[in-house]
Amino acid sequence: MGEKRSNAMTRRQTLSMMGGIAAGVPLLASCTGSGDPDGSSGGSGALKWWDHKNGVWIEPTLERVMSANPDLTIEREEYPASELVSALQLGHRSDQMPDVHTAHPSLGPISVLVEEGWFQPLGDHVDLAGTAVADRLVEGVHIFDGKVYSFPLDDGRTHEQTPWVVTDRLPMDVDPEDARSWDGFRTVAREITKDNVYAIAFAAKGPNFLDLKLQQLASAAGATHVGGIDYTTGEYVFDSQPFLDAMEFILALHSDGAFHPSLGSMGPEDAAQRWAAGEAHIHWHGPWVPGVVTNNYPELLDMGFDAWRMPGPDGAPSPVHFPPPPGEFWISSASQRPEDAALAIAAFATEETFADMVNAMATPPIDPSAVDAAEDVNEPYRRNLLNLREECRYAPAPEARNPAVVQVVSEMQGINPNPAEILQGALTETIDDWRQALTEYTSSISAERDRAIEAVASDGADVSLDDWVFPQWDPANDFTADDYA
Amino acid sequence: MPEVSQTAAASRTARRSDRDRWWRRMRRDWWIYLFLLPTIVGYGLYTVYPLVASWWYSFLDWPGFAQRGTFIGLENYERLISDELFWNAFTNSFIFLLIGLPLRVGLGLVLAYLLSRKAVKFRTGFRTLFFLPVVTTGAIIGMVYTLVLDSTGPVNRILTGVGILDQPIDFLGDPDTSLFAAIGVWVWKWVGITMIYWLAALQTIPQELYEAAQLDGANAWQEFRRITLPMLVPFLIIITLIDAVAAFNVFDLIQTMTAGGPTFSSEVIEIFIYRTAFETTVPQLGYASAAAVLFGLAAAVIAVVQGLGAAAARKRMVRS
Amino acid sequence: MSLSEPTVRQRPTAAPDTAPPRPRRRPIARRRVTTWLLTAGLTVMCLIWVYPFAWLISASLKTPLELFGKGLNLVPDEPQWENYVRAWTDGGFSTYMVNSIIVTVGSVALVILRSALAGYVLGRFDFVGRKLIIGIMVVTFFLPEGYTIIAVTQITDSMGLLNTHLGMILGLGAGGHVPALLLYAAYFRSLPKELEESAKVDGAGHFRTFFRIMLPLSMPVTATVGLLQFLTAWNAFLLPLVFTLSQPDLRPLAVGMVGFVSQNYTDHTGMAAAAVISLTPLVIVFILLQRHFVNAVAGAVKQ
Repeated sequence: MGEKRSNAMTRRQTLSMMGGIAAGVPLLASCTGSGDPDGSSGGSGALKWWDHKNGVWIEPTLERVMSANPDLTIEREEYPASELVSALQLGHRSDQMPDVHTAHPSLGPISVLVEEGWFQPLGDHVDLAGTAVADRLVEGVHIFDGKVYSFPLDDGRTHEQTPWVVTDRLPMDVDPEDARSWDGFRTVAREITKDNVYAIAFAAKGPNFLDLKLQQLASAAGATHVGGIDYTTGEYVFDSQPFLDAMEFILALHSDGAFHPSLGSMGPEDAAQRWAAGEAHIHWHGPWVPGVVTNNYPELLDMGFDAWRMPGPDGAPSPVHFPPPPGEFWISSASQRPEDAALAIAAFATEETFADMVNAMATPPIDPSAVDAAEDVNEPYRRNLLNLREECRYAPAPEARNPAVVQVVSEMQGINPNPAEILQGALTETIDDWRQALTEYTSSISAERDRAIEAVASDGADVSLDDWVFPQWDPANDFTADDYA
Repeated sequence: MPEVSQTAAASRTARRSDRDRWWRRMRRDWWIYLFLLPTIVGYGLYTVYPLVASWWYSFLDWPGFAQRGTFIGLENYERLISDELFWNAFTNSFIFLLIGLPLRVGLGLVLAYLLSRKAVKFRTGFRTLFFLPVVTTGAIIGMVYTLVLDSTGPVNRILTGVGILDQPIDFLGDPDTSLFAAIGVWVWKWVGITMIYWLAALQTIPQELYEAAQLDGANAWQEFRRITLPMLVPFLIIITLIDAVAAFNVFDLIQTMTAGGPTFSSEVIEIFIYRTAFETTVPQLGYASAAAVLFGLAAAVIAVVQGLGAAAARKRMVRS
Repeated sequence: MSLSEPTVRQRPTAAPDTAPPRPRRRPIARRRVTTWLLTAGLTVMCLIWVYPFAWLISASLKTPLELFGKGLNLVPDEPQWENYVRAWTDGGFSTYMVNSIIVTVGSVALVILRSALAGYVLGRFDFVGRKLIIGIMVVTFFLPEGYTIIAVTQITDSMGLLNTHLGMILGLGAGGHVPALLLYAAYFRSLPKELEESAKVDGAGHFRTFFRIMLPLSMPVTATVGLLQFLTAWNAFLLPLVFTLSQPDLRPLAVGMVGFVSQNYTDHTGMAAAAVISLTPLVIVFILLQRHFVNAVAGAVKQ
């Protein structure tokens, strides 16, 4: 998306382009190259900044930093998440790291990255005391060996299960209350599937969307888990009843014919586009959808764009659980100018940024007062954020209590097909006995964790299965930084 | 006994004079080595070293976030052998080859044959249009075909409209068809270059042969059968080889269209490697390298067997 | 090999089994019919072939909502020329285009030069180490490549050439290309020995002989190798992506397409416009040069 790229970037491109023309002979440029050979080193030049977030709220803060510090230029590059991960891995191995970047979960567990020397501490250069993020920092998540490395900006309690609809296009009047229970949702979906317009644009192409659907719907059905581990028992629960119920619910919608038939070739953004174009009535996704709609399909705003509630088995869903929100921006250990980087990052822990986030209708910020204060957002967006507060809770993070847990996680090897792939297989009828597949996966992944625990423990780490058990956790309430003690 | 030592001494002297002669020749031929220098340096740095390095990586346990790996011997290979998804990708790659290659080579020949005949109109226009996909980047083709082939796209509308299909098929999103749809798109993209090879091959056939055949009253079919085909056999081997190498190079096309899915149904070996190296929760470079090496070995064995087969076939042809 | 059989069966119409009694007159009338039948058949096939491009052009002029909503209808309600403006300026395609041209031209030149030089001496001269060099190349050609991108990146980095055009040119052209080299070797071998002798009589040294006589003579091979390398470099994806990670304004077109995909939204119409922009010059080049391509490839494979 062009307009999401930084202005600085485009200006540079134009300049280098003009330079190329002025030089006349393109081949000449090829011999000298126009890049500086070692990306981020040196005290001069622009601060390099890579992220996979929405530029609409990031760039204003960076602009503020640059206008307050005329000597500092920041070059931001926005990547899609998967590209960012490849870029960072390759960059890390070839000394092409930016000064600041986001750490997508696929990059690896944060504390392992810290241990591998990816980052330098933020706290050496700035003090976050007095900001809205100060009391949201968790040891083992943002703080390592007593040093602050990063801080969260997203609230993190944001499920991706909101049915976004365009009311005027529905073939009949629908009371959103009727779609709150799973059965009701199914009935409504069946009824609005008409005249080649399907109820739901369901994105079954890649595993990520399916993972979210399955895990969060299982939560709605009562599984008290994060990533398939129930923190009341420490066990993997992919084969528990709530997961089976969630599977059945999704498969039932599919066999009802409610899903757009191209599900197998749609990623989430394809699904959004088809929904926006009117091929489906419901885009079943996260809180940022109003932002995407406002930027790209503003015509929908006048057609009754609305948010329904996340459906639960019998109406209101059980809470969906989330780990403490991870740090957003990290200073690369390759950066030669950590002070500048820290300065720029710290500028995000301000009311202005939080207000920008809300006004961009992005994922909600960690400072809830910004949501209440925001003026310029559409009503379904705000209402959905308030709903999220009812429907989502923080769970504990095992690595916050015992950092060695992460060694186990990084020792573990993936097992395929994983639950998202099993769901995909069930939807496309390549896996007939998905119950059996889930049971097998659960026992294999449990065995793999046992093996990893043993391997890590034999290397001297103090870790056991109990590290995943939090008997004092009340799943109905948020688990906060104080609860670890 | 003395005889033996005499021979040894003789051969030693011979060896020494050999070495002298070599030196003299090398000094005389200095410019030859200068001509070879760019190739030797480039080949060493960009082909031999990376090849050796990637073999070395395949013996390492190397998670993606680490700067370096640790040596674990053959463990990666042991795991690969029992990794069903590796064999799935392996099989898919060969299905790709077995179906895509003959289609591409055969269709390329048909097009080239028709477009080399003076009787056909607008030959330049046709050639250009068939060549167009070759210069179109994979990402674009991926985007276009995802939308053209899906269940509400134009292809399905036509097929259901004329009654060939009762139900639309999401060609790239249905595990029964995704691999074949990807093969189809691959043939579509690359047949243009194969057509050029064949056009070139057809041009090497002397025109007099056809004229003689026409005097004998041969029809077009007999001409093709008796003259064109036999003359093309040597080219068939070259073109098949070139295209076979290309058939293992389909990463960007498949990644943008299906990313190997759904449920691994179109996951060819390159996607498997990429997924292992970048997209799993803990990326594994050593494992990815091992997969590449193991698959490459298998491909090389097959290439050699194919080469021997082709040579044998050629020999038989010459004899008959 | 049985590969050619299906192609034979697919050939339409032209061949009744028995030769007609008066072969001179009827074929002319029949030939005209055949001509039009063939042309019509090819036209149908061509329509299938170019449909995706028609779709692409139409997509490049639609709004994002029209793209899906209108199905078979290729004609947009109102052409959205601003998609092109967006692709060219915001999407940075003007820059990507220049990068693609630099990298492609550079690597084509590199491959031609080094393969021709090496092919010349390998094909025409016997010298110490010749067998060794050929042996290494053949062996490495057949050995599995493995996952080489990591090592290639390291090499390039250690020379300080990551994030430069030169780095990409070397990465795409400095290694491999054994077939190109062998093609040159075979071609040069086929040229008569007298060429060098007469050059020597004229007092030309090795370099002048090569650049003034041999290289120009090998035009067919050069064109073939050039065309193949052009296609490889123009379509290359992973290597330029990796080599320009921290310098996105050095990206070539194939990688630049990534810029149209962001976290929650893909700008399909902008991407389509960019694709049309990037295809236009290539189509023109091909129309102008296609006859030469074919002749050249034919000349090159004749041996």
